[in-house]
This record gives sequence, structure tokens and C-alpha cells, in this order.
Amino acid sequence: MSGTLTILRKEWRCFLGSDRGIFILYAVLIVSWSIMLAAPGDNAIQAGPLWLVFFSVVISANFSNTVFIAERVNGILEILLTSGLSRRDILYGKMIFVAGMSVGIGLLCAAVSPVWRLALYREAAWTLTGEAILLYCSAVFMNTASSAYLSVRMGNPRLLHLANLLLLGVLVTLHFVASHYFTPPPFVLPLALLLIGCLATAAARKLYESEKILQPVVL
Amino acid sequence: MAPVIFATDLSKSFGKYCIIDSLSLQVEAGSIYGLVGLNGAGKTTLLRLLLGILQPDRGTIRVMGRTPWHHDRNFYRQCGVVLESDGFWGNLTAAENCAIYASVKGVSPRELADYLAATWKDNALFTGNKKVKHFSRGERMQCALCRAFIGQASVYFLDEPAVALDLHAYDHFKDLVRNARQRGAALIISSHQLDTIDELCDRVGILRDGTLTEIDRSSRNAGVSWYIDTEDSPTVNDVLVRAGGTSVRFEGGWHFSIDDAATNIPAIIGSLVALGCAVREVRREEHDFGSAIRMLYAGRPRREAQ
Repeated sequence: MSGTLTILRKEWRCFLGSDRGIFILYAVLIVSWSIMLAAPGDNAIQAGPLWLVFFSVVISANFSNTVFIAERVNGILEILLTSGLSRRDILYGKMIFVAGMSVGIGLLCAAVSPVWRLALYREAAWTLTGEAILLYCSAVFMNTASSAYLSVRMGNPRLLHLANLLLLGVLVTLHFVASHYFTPPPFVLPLALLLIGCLATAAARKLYESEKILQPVVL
Repeated sequence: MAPVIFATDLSKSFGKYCIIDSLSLQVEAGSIYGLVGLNGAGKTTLLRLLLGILQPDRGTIRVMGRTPWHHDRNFYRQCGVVLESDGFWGNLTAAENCAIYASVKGVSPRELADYLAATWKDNALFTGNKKVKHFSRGERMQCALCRAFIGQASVYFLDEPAVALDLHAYDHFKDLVRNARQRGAALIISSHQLDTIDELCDRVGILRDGTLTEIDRSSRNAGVSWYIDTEDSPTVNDVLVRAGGTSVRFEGGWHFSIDDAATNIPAIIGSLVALGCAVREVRREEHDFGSAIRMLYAGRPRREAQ
């Protein structure tokens, strides 16, 4: 547990040490997405499954690139493996950081959007339901776990976000098709995402324990 | 004295390429072992095996009595490591990087501050706000050395630790290594810088064809070899290999060293003649430790001769 916290602290410090441009980009992202979420009625971007799960890919991609891929490419991971941290702590610490930051930014968008709605449309209301937030969080978890796994498994990990998009696209499409025939309970899609996330986490853990963690990366 | 690093019958292949082949190695406490070899000889692979980052296909490795592949946290806390990639977080300063590493190693901030003050006091790299991503290659290597020597490790694995170091940094590196040896640590240094190896190491392993040829500074035969001027053919190589010892094709002849040279050399020459090889010259050569390493290092791999 202390090892996981060490990794979390390390990732947070590295994030804070990022170039100013990164923070500006995130600020622009949060402002623009929260404004889009704030649009009421017919003008609103539908906060449906497709929108939320794809937003989760966009948000988590940058963190995954830094935390999972870059550290393999520049040799930091090899140093971490020989530093005295358990491989499980390294994996979980990284996953918690990516998921935490992605959920945090998503929730920040959701929290800011009512302010825009009030300022721009004179309506006081929350823009995202609890169900939508649950769906977003489960999609983030699946993305994070899948990124951890694919960053080691794929010879060219730069493509892992495309793989994530593909997987999420298939899941959401299946959900849409199914909803034409019957009304699936609201927890079905988040549950499916969580289940896949758990499987990906187990697979990532296995890879982190193997020597595949050091296989050459092609970018 | 029980060896700190003990490897026996070690083999490792990547696909069809056999990198390490039935290799055995021992490094005792308080000694420095040099590892040299041409590019692709398998030095980094051997270090990774000893560190438990790679799993051997065959053989046994024990480092401080533990099997490295079990990834025991306490094992790594007793290791100091410099690897091919320096592995720094470029967004942080050298001191911040070291602080993270120290916390993982169980070294308190106070102990780290004492270490930096005592060992790196004249070095501005650890006091300024300059981020590591702005460092030169040599500065990064100094940071890597600083990180490796945090905490008093029992065993050090240093892969090309003197690359890009300036004169002062190089002297400092040698001090660090000698101090570690003095307090009983075992060190393995892999390097192409033969001066470094010659200057620091008690024993040197030349890695070729997946196996190690060792030269011991204290051995009476460390600097003795035989030069045999005969044809460059696999037959000669086979005879020399069968005789044991070490042979390389270098500067137009075969250079051969063996512990029991007095009794074996006549037998070897006899075998060569019996097989129809024209032996033009045989002479005894004496080298200092450094040139013995150079000769074995630069010799053509046996596989190539075959």
C-alpha cells in the first residue's frame, strides 16, 4: 500500500512539474466541455453513453501516454522495477493516478457546467445525472485498465487509444442494438465496463510480473 | 567467503538468438567485477538476469542468497543500479528525483540530505531548480550515480557508469566505487571503457559467444598467453576449445591462455600438427592486466571463426 502511495505521489509531482501548456490545454478542455454540457433542452449535447465513454477516452489518453507508455520508452519503468517497489504497487499506483485524474477532470466539467447553464441560459439545474456519472467513471476505469494492459501487450502502444475506442464503440453499439429490442437496466453498461476493466487489470498484472514488461517498444 | 552474486549454468535466448550460454559467475563481497564485451555480446542481458528483470531459460542465480526473479522488495533495496537508460523524470529536479528514489529505498529525507551533503556537496546539480530534462548527458549520468549510491547497498550493478563523465565527475565516480568496495559491497561494472575496468576491477569477465572468460588480477597467469601462428580455420579453433582456457584470433594469429600452460601447450601443438595444420611460430607472451583484457576483448568471436 505504501508503495502505491509512493507511485501516486510521484505521478502527482511529475504532473505538477509539467509544462505550463499542459495546464492551459486542460483549462481550455474543461471550459469548452462544461459549456457544451451546459446547453439545455434541444441544444444540449446528448449526455448519452456514446458521448460519455468517448469523453473518457479523450481525457485519460494523455495521462495514459505519460504514465504507461512514456515510462516504458525512456527506461523509467526499468529503474522503478529495480527500486524496491513491488510490481503490483507500481501498476496499481499508476492506474489509480490515471483513473483519479480522469474522473477528477470529468467531475470538474460536470461541476462547472451548471454555472455556465445559469450564466448563459438562466437555468439552475445539474447537467449530468448520477447514472451518467457512474457510466463515465466505469468507462474511465475500463480505459485505464485496458491502457495498462495494452501498453505492454502491444508492440506499438501508441495505437492503444484506438484499440480502446474500438472496444468502447463495440460495447456501446451492442447496448444501442439491445435497447431497440428491450430496455436494458441502467446498470448494464457500467457493469459491463467494470467487468472488462477488472479482466484487463488482471491481465495487466500478469504482464507486469513477466519479462514482457521490458519488450522493445516501437513508436 | 560465500559469493554475493552466484550464477551457474545460466542460459538465455531471445527467439533463435542465444545470448547467454551456460555461463557461470561469482562475485565476492568487497570486490569489483568488470564485465566487458563487444556490442551485442550480452552484457546488459546478463545484468538484467542478475537483477531479476529477465528470467533465465536455464540455470541458477542467487544474489545475496536470494533468487532475483522472485522480485523481493528487500532484495532491490540492497541494490544500487545504473542501467542503460538513466530513467529520470524530466519534469523534476535531480534532488526531487533522488528524493522519490530514496523514499522507495526506505532512506529518510534526513539521511538523503546527509548523503547529498557529504558525497555531492560541491555539485550544483542537486541544489538548483534546473529540471533534469535540461541536463546534459554527463550531468544525467552524475545524477544516475548519485541515485545508485543512495543508501548503503550491498551490491551494485553499473551498466556503462562512466559514459560522458567529465574529469572531476570521473574521479568522483572512482571514489564512490572504491568506497563501496571498502565497506564490503560487491560491484559489477559493465563498460567499453577499458581504462576504467583496468583501473578499478579486481576481476574481469570478457563476454563472448554467450560465455565468460575471466581474468583475475591476482592470478599468476593473468598476463600470460601463448601466440600460435597457424592457419585461421575451424579445426584450430576446435583444438583450442577442447583444450580449455581461452583463445582468440587477433592480429594474424591465435592468442591462447591456459592455467596449466607448461604441460598443455606441447600437447596442443602436437594435436595441430597431427591434424595437418602448419604451425609457423609459437611464443610465450606476457601482458599487463590492461593489455590482457584488451587482447581478449578485441579478439574475434569464436562463432565467427567457425
